[in-house]
Amino acid sequence: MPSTPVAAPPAHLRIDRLTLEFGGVRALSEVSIDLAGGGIIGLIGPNGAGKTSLLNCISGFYRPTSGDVTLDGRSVLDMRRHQLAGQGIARTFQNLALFGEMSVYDNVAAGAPRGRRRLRGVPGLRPPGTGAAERDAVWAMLERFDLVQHARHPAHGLPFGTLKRVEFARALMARPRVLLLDEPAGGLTHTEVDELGGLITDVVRDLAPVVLLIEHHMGLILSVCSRIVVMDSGRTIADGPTEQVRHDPAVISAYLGGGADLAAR
Amino acid sequence: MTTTTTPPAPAVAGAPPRPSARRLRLVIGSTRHRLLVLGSWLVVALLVLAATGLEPYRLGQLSGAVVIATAIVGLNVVTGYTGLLSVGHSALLGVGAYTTGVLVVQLNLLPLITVPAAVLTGALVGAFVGLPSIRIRGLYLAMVTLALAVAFPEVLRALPEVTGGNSGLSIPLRFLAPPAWTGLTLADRPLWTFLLCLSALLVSMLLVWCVLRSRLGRDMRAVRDHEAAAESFGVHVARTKILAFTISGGITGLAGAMLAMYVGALSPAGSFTILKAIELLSGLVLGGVATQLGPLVGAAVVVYLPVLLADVVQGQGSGVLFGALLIVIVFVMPEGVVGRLNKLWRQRVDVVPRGMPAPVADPP
Repeated sequence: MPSTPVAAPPAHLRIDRLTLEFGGVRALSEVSIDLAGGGIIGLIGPNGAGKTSLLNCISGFYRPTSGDVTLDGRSVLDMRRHQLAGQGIARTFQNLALFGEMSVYDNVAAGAPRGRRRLRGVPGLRPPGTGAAERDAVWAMLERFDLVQHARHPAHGLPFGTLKRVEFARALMARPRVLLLDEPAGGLTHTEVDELGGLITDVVRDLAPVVLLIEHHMGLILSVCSRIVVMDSGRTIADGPTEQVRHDPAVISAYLGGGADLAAR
Repeated sequence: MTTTTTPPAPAVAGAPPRPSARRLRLVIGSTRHRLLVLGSWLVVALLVLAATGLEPYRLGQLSGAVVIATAIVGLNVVTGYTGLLSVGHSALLGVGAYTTGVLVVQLNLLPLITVPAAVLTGALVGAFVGLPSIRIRGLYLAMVTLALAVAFPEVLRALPEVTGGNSGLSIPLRFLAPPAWTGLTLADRPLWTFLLCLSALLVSMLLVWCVLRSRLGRDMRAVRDHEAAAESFGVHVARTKILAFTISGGITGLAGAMLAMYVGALSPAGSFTILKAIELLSGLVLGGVATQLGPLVGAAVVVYLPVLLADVVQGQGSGVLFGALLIVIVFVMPEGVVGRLNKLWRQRVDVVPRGMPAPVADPP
């Protein structure tokens, strides 16, 4: 699987008047975001604004009270959670969700697209070459994320920054059309965040997915995102090109309590 | 998983000395790796050959251990690799044993012919037992499987026309004799039984090896380690769990059929109570959960250790000593005997998988 640029048009993810209630609490109210055109879209807002809830609705972990999420016109809410990967939706988790006992190699390989391959484990019965293609793709991914030396180590016990890379690599193995990143920079060092920014832009150049990036690290958001959506108390309060949003007074007051530029963070 | 398929044999002896590298580099598919695998199989073959020379009583005992090992291999699929605690495998063992027993005694079928039926009923009951695992896990699933283990002997007692009730079933000796084509006589029955049980064990281990190499094996371990993440990456969690229980039930059913042929007499109070399920679980933990050779070591411990202790200590004392020793083993080696050996093996040997890029210099 060489990483050649995908010629297909970018996925069209559309969030339409999405409302999510837990008991009497409204986590999301009528959130609408049209992600036509793709690119890297930053999703920011204070804690409890509903960013992760929105991600969980898209990836099938929460069932919204009303509204819809469509991918190329098809609702993803009717799909079972395990079917979303096949639709090209991949995500990372705010708190790592790796397979602890499995090796780093197996963790990344678990993200590989699931074709209709049968009897791969039985020597002699599998079609020749099927295993090798995936194996090479996994090793290439591990090499790209500087994980080769950890490949055979179980995921648990490795440093946090390394595990974040494993999660990102696993999400990319699926060659996603929609990539949902939940605070990928959380807990990383300065250098690691810079590398992460480079990786995200590389991914977009190679695979051209729609990236929805939740992040508190404003430096990362401002350097990679072409568009920023700002949420507060379950609503979108701003949505537009990065340059426009960062100077929006409503955003600055919601985010910083007023009086400062976002870049100052 | 490549490290667990290769027995931790002391292969370092024949290797050229490498003073610079502390770890021995072993490239999968290299000549050295092939020689090591071949050598391991040679050792296994020699051990089997040596075992066939044992006196009949010892050979019978060994067959018993091989049957227990097969059942633990089955349990390992569900509890070790898929992370679903089952306390009900005594019932699955019983389902296989009684399938063979009933078909032989009631329908006068040859025991060998009943083996596929035992595998099938084991797999079906296994799948059925697996159904609750879609919704529940951990201790709650253990409770459901516990109920099965407790209910199974009572079900046997409730159907005396089929199962012989409390007195059980006795398979006539003529059915258990080696078939004529083997050239063995009735006196060679322990050898015949041993070879059958050993074949069942090898087939089961081979099946598990294939499953682990396949995507199903990876899915099972992914479900065990993080169910939600597994689902996010396309794993059909319910199907994976049911398949794990089905394979596990089939293997345990096979072990049951072997048990029926080895013992020749089945009764509800015999091998199919909750105690047997606990014995299988102890064996799995002692040998090494989610290791491919752990079931062999575990079975050897739970079958032979009580016998050895009974020679040393008389009466109740041996049971207490057995329990105490189990606790010591678990404390010293929480990852099990084979789990510990695997760890030591990995510390000394750097197993390089196929397709791995050339090692790069360590980042500064």
